[in-house]
Amino acid sequence: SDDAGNRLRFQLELEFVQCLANPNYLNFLAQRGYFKDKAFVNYLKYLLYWKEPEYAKYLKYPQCLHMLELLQYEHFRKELVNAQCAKFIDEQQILHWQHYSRKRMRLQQALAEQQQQNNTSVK
Amino acid sequence: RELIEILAISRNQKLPQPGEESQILELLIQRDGEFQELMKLAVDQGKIHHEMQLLEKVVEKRDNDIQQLQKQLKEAEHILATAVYQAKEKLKSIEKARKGAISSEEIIKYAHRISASNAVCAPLTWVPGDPRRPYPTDLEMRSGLLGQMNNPSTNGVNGHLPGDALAAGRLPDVLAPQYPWQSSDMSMNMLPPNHSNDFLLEPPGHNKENEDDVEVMSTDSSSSSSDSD
Repeated sequence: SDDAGNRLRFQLELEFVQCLANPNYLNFLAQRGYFKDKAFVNYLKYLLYWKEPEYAKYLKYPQCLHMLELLQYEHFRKELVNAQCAKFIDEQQILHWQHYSRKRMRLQQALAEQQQQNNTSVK
Repeated sequence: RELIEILAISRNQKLPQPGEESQILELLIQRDGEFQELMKLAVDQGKIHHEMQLLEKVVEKRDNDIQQLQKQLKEAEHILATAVYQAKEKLKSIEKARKGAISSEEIIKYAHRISASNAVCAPLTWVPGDPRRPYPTDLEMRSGLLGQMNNPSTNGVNGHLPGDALAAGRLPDVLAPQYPWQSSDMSMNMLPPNHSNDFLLEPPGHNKENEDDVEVMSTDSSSSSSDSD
């Protein structure tokens, strides 16, 4: 039935667009020439609908939208053939991912130090 | 004066020209009369000139007043233009905010969803070597719908174009998602827009060259007018 087909298509496109957040996968696609396929490039443009809030709220990995935007540029698509490019993006992504954890750890440390100081001064 | 001198000298000389004397006297009287008239004229002109000066001063004053007024009007216009511009900007941002209005509950729910699963924020215990990533990993991709779409004998993650999978006629047995990144709570009204399996269709004007190439390749006609590379 049409409904089931649409539901399926929705799930598939939801999965696929989020796969674009994986730089290794992007490198995989680039090396197999998918980014040179006109139909594929058009498909990437079509996927931009995930930026709308009513669709974006289903994304677990909203960072995929940033990748999707970058993928609209031919220069970016060409660069992704290089493994170093993918590696660099991967590293930066992971560092950024850790940003808040690190920040929280620093805050906790600072708080712990302050408490220690308070304790010693009270004594 | 000269006339008077001449008259005086001629008197002293007692010249036998009485007719001349009266003539000269008449001339003198005439000249005097003219002179008096000229004097009157000069006085009148002087008065007019004086009036002109007064009027000029008044005109100058009016000119200054007008310039003052002009300056003030310009200032007022400038202030009003600024105010109107800022008001318009405010209205624009109000409209923008109104359009993007989302209930705080939804935002909090979403924020929780993407954070609790460590999708956008690394787990606090993460160390290098931990397989978790800020994107779907290979494992996740393969266990998703896409991964199960295609023949498991083909390696890697395939089935990029849903069109392929649908054309292959294969449907997965299990639609229930295993990872929360595959949505299970989507409403039936949520549909992907403008679906056509033919992503080769481009807006007119694009890709004319390629089309021509195809034509040339498929015909033997030598009278083709298109450029071939």
